[in-house]
Amino acid sequence: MGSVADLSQLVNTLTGGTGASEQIWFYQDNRIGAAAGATPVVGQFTSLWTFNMMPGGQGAAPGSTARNPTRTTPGALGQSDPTGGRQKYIAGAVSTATTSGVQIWYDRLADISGLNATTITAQNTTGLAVSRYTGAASAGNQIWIEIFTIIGTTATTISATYTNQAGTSGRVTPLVVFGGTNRREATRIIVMPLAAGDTGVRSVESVTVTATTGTAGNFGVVIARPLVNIPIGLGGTGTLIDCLSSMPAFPEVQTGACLSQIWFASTTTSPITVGSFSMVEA
Amino acid sequence: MTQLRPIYFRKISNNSGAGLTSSWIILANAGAIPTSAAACTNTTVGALNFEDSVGQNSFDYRIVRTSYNVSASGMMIIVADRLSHTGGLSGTVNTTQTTNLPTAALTRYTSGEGVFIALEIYTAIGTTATTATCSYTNQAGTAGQTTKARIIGSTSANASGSFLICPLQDGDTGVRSVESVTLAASTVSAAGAFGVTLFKPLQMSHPTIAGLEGYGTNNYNSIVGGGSQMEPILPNSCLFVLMTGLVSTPAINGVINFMDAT
Repeated sequence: MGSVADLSQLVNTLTGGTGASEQIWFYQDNRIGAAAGATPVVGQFTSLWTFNMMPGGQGAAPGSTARNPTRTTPGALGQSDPTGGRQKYIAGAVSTATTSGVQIWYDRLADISGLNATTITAQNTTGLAVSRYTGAASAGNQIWIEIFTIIGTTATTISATYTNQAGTSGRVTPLVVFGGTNRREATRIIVMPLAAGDTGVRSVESVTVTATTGTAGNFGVVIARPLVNIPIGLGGTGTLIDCLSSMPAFPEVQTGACLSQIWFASTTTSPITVGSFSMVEA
Repeated sequence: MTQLRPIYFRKISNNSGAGLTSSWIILANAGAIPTSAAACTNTTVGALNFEDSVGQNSFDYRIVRTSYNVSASGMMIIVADRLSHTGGLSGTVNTTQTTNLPTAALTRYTSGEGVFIALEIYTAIGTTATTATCSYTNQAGTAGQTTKARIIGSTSANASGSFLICPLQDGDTGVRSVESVTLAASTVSAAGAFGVTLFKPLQMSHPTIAGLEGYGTNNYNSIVGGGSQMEPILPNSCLFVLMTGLVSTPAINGVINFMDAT
């Protein structure tokens, strides 16, 4: 376990002393491949996984075999791994966007797609388990539904069966709205609340759609670990996140972390985001 | 830590905002519109650190504080190292353009890792939106890579000063050179003039309140409150600033403070 001992060590590391530092800049365009980006919905989460980004490129639907994305998976920010037995932390971040909303940067721990929004029996998500933030450290992991191809217009509900942070299997999330206007479009993220008393997730075993939405579409499940929120109060402005004097306090970037962002929209304009992360090893 | 060095500057933009705006050809201390491919250094007119010790070989400067007095609220300011630039491209040509390309070889960040491509508009091009792609050599030396198509020519991406970043091909993390630029269609109403700029962002902060400059207001310390942005200023760096925002023709009075970490 490494730690930043004090302010002097932080300055020393940032200016080329013991340890290592990395400032990685990103530009995420408001386009998906050659097409315009999906229109966000106010008050809903939009996945920017498939948007064009530099560095990292464009993510894609993972397919029907569960996987553990890493920093080299297309769509990931692609920071370097910590070296010398050290750990890596976000010391600060800054970003702007062309419209207002909140960037939520997260570590994409596990994902799967190819699920059907007209199937009303349990759909297994075999192998969807974390390889980072494992065991008790899974407290803080979340379950997200991610829509890759538009599903039906009929609003229904969905639940997930999962193993919680304590290793207890068979846990079931409360139902959330799935399908229908604003809960069906490609890039939509639907955050699943956990069962009462649970604080995290080790794996997801299945999802169940209560009634058909009318269109199969293509949706998936992500186990995600939110790390940093960057609010953008007004398009063209931005926010500095200082992990020394403010929050969050030095979130760890684990070896192989697949960093990406979702967008909590306050306008219907697809955002362009530009910013950077300052990371240190200790 | 042996030396602190401030650089003062003033820029008055002629752009109406919406997206990134380059300060390069903006007064005061305006740079010239490039007429050929050129690598930029601290001796290039327009560099914020022109004729200054920041960027000289014998120092290891880091940005430790920025402070800005702006004419209007709602901006972000990025300090960047301008590595290589060209000009002379047209907004009405929809075939592959190679005028003044390839870009001059990088003299800093020579691997290309972390280097960005931008299309920098010097004279307004047309207002019809189309897309642009660049053919480039990536950080591994692989030629023939193609950027993702990005919007150019709409009302938010056609004015002088517009600075249009081009996302790289999947898997690429930087750029060594750009060989050509292709517009999918003409921007119609004006050929204008634009070029390719290769740059490395260094620091970003946000003056949020107009007409003020003081501790806690539009004033950022790299360690406490500033997000630990302490990238090294490489020898011969050509520093310039980019602005974002929805502010019409912003004016900035700024000071960037550097610390020598040798």
